[in-house]
Amino acid sequence: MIKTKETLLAQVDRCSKCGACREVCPVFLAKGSEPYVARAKVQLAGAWLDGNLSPSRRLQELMGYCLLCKTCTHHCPNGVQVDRLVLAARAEAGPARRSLVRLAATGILPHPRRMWVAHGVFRLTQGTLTRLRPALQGLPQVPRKPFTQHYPAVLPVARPRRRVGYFLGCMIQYFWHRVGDAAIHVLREHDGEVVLLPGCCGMPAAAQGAAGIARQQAEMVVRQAEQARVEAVVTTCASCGLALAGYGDELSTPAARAFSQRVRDISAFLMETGLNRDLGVVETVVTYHDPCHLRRGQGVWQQPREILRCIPGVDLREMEQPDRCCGGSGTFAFSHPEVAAAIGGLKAEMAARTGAAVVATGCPSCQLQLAGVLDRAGQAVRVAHTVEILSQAYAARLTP
Amino acid sequence: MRDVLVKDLARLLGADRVISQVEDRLCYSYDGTYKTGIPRLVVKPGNTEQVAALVEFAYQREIPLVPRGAGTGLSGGSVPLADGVVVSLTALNRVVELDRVDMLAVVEAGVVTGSLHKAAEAVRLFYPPDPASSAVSTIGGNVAECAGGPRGLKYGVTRDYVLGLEVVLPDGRVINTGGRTIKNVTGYDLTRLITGSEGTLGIITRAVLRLLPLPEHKQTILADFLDLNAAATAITAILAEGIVPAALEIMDDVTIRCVEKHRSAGLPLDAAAILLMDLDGPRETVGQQLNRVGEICRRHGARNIRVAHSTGESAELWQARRAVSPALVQVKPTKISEDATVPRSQVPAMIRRLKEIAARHNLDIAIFGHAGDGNLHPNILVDRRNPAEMARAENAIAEIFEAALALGGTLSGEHGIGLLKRPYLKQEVGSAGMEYMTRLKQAFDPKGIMNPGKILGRCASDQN
Repeated sequence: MIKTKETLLAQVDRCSKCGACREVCPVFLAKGSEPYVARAKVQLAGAWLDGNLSPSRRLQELMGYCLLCKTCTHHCPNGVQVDRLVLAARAEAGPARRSLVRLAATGILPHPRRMWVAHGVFRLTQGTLTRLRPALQGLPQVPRKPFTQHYPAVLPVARPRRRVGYFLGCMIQYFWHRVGDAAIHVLREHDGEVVLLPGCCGMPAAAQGAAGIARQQAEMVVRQAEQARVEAVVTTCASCGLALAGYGDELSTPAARAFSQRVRDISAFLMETGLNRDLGVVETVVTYHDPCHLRRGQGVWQQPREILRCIPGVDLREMEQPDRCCGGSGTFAFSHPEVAAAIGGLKAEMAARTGAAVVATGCPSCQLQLAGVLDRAGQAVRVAHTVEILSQAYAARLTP
Repeated sequence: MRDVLVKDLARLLGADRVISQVEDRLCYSYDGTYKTGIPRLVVKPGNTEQVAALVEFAYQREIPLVPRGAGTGLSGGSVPLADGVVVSLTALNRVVELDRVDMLAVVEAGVVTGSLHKAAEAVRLFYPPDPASSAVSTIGGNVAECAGGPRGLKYGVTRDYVLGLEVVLPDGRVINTGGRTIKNVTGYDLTRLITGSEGTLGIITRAVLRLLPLPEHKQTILADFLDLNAAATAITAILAEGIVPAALEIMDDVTIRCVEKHRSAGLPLDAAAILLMDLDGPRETVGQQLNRVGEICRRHGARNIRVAHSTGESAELWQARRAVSPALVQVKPTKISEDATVPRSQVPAMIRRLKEIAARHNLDIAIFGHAGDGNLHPNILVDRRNPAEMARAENAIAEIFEAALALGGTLSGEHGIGLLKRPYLKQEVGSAGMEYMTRLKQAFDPKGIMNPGKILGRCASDQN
């Protein structure tokens, strides 16, 4: 994270105002008006940093219209890091609007006890809440207990080749147990002794402008991983992975730098350490959606495709613009349901056009969004994490 | 005052079409230049009738209007001055008609040029004008500025494809100029007058555009040189042999390095200059020309000739070319883009003079552009927070124009006069020319509400 005003202004200076981001910014393409495009956010941030624009509710509102998807940065002739300017503006340009989403991201997710209570309340009211908030539609039925209560803290294997920390993140810990189960199965197939690492990565708080809370979370996660003495920290959530990989720069401590260097998305980890190719058959047509925080965030896009291609029976068909943001973006789908639905609707169409039975992806936030938008579009397409399909392939080998 | 105006305009157009908060207005204060000006209000009419109603209203109250498309211009044409009201035309975004027999398209002003390219190519038709910003710029803006682009060399510029226009005049009346025919000599040619008028004579709401058959085949070639002058002489040699490439672009070492930094297309970083060329036409002819162009370049000192082997590779090279202008702010934050244009035979001489001017004033001047048609884009790279450097840049700009005029050229090939080149206009068109342009403006726009201060208008260097 860029901290000082000078470094932020240097980003502003690198924007030539050419408007190339108008071609690709998903929020702009949905809203159709300049104030929602990346270029405008850079200029607004510049005016604020120069003292020509005072922080205001409208400024915060406009800064809120950003998916942090990095599509603009990737397309920009000068690589302007718009997401960093947006986060800095959210953090410092005055208090954001109070909302349930902000409360959850900053006041509940970082606190396991509060989260435990909220989780219980949520479980009992899931039906009602989903009717009120269609963005919740893609969520599986909420499990009774957090993920860590189903497993011992360390999962031994017969002949351990390495000790791996599995950073769950809130989405796996409280909602997507089937992804967590699959990840553990897959890691054990690779003779990994798995240490479960619960906690919140801090990304939801940072996205809400609560940089201080995000920092505390980062410190906690680094400490926890140090105590666990693991060779690698593996994630199944693109956003958690991006956050964790950024702790080194964020905290600038030797411990944080060493930690960040050990962080890998599970697909990258498996390809790097050697994928176990003793796989059973999974007969299905799959298309792969690139999570923004995996492809542009961590440069991981070949590995999940390689894994899918290795599985006998899997017919991988690319959709048009597989790396176009699905519109979920963590809390964005809750704070901006209409824009998220419009962006997601396009994605659902592109995915369905391939004729795939399954959309594979590498982020629970994308899974949530994709399942919801596909359902609303009347598409009978299943959404699965890449490791779920891989786990299925290992299971298929065992039961011929 | 503003509140009353907001209410009146909301009544006229609908509340959601009037933008008044300062944060939003700030987002309409800029274009692709370093000039800015926050508008008094922004309005977003949804159709020609609304534009007409708005202009009539503004005419009665003498409210200055600033028409705007995607805001990608390079002369300050859409930057608001004098508390103007920005008229954003992006909601007028329908391709109304694509006629394969008459070979024309009827489009609204807010249609993105790139989407017209795609729509035409889908039915094997071709809209040649291709400004670097075509992926986002609008037809309305392209017509108003008479945009060019790399294909200008062989195919001409926007004006060569405008058959007719629907224009809202400064008093709110709507006229249709030209028509659907290639031949039309009925009365004064208002179509050509309004094309390139930079929003100072009226607001263009719709255009009838001529299309061509899509060329059968296209081939992209990249030649790199260790000497900028050698590259420049290769250009004149190619053209002298009677070969007219669809595009013939030059990029110097500074531009190559800037563009390679964030989106690498594999351009040679150690070259002093590259020529990027497209040859198009029947497959057989393209093949023959390809060999001859390669030979000529080698004869003039080209180190390497690279032929793109796929449409993907070709697209990547052109994507790199389009990124040049924006990428230059990596050198220094303020980029003064010029587009002084000379007869093609004078390109080598012009490049020499540009290098001399850069050295004399101790400035970074990057050179790239449409070398084949003489339309170079020397970009002076400075920091607007450094007054001494800005002053040196001012002197260099004046010398660049002097050089272009001395070589038989012009101030602006395709960017327009806008705000940036206003002080130099008289130098090219003379006192009588200025007087007639001023009278023309007054005849169209007696109250001076249409994009005031652009092209004509008072500025510091106007003595009389």
